[in-house]
Amino acid sequence: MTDADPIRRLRELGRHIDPELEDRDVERVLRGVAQRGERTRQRRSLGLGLLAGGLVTGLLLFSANWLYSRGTSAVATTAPTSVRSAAPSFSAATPAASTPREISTPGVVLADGSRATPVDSGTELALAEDSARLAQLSVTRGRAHFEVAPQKERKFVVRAGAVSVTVIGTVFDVEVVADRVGVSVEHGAVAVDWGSDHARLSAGEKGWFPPLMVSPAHPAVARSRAAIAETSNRESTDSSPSAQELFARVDAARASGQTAQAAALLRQILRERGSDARAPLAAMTLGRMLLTELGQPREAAAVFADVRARGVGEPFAEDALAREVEAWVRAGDTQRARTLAQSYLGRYATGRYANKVRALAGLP
Amino acid sequence: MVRPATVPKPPLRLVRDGESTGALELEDIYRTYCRYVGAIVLRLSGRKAELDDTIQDVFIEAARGLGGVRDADAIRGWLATIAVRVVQRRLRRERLYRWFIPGREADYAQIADEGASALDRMLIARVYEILDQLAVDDRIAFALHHIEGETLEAVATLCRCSRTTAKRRILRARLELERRLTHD
Repeated sequence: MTDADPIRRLRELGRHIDPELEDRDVERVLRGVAQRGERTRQRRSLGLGLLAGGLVTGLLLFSANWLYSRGTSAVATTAPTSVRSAAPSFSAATPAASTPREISTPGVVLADGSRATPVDSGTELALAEDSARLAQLSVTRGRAHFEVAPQKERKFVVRAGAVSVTVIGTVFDVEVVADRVGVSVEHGAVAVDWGSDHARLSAGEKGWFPPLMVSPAHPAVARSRAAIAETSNRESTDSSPSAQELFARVDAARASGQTAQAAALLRQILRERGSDARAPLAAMTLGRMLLTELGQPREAAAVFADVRARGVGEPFAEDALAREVEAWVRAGDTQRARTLAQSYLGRYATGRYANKVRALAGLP
Repeated sequence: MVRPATVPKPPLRLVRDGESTGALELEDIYRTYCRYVGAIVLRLSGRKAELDDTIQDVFIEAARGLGGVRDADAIRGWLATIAVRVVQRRLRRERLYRWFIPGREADYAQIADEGASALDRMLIARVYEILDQLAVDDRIAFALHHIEGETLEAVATLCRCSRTTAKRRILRARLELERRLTHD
């Protein structure tokens, strides 16, 4: 290696210097910004209050001194008036009403004792209906945990974007990450409906909905709220852009650094144009973006697994398996990464990624 | 009994009607650019432990300056400028602390992700250790050009200096790095 090589190499290595923030990290930073902004405002208010108090006290002392020197008794009537005027200026500036209330917010307890509890700090959970026949809640962001009291005559429905989860007596979690909804069931069973299709999950099972890739037989699934929000200013949901147009939009979004939007468009391609010949390429691109640019290794691993499950040919299958190993390593699940790495090496002992997979999974 | 249902969003002052861009929602800007800002901050400072705080500094400063942004397309560059300024300030403060408190060194061993080889990790860690010893302005200009991959013009804009000054800073840092890496 020459002296100049390390410096030249740095630019290439720059891509390895990435905080790999996941959605939860972003929400944590966002919350920190809000809390620090609040503290700054409070400190500023406190400073102003102290300054005002000091000025008033100084004025009072000066007035008292002046009045005393003139031999009058006006001090007793002046002091309370001035103190009252200073006090409200301090308390009014303290934004008690805007203090975050989430710390004391326990979630939702329904009339029958069923509970819905936010799990993540940024979770948005709302109760739409709590009647004798229907309990309906919605999760628009974050993750929530549900404990549903058994009720034979009442439906318990959780809506999250385009996905609805229906249950009678169970314990389960619903998580919203970007435009996908994760459901995991602890006890009982739930029915998950995403417009064009539905699935049933039993105790111990979990899944992400709508499924990323639908078979050609399935009609296009309804778009999720996040995808609609991202694309609503460009097109109506009724118009159906061609795969070509969607790919062009992906390229434009990536070129302008709008990675999240590009990822949403790729998901849209996979949902609505799953039978297109370029769908595997779109899925691989999405997986790589989630892995290296958006810092969502678990999501990326799910995408690569979907690619393989779809029975794509080479070189996608090999690429997807190697990438899935990498994704699980980054997600910290080394056991799963190792199992997949062994699977890769069993199929592609001299494959393009054999050395990399061995190194990632710590195999000899 | 039904108790309150909604966990509130962070109490940000969110919406401002821009003259040419329509509504700019600060919270959305945060979410869209958080990872971008995080990457710039990490590449410039190398300090993973302070990442959250530094990103927050950037966005708090951004919230104050949002009124000056007229073009939504400029947000990315505008945030990068703020990130550079915030990191500059933090690095200067850190130098001062180090002067008073010897042995207060950052740990750069974990700065690279798992995709980097062991050799590359060592190189990155060593480069940041050396960058710690350079003038902050030189370090920032070097990192922007050689690690972030910015052009000379972009470095000059982000560092608010002339192209010649940017070039001089980068060269100074580069020569010093090469000298020390050669010694290693």
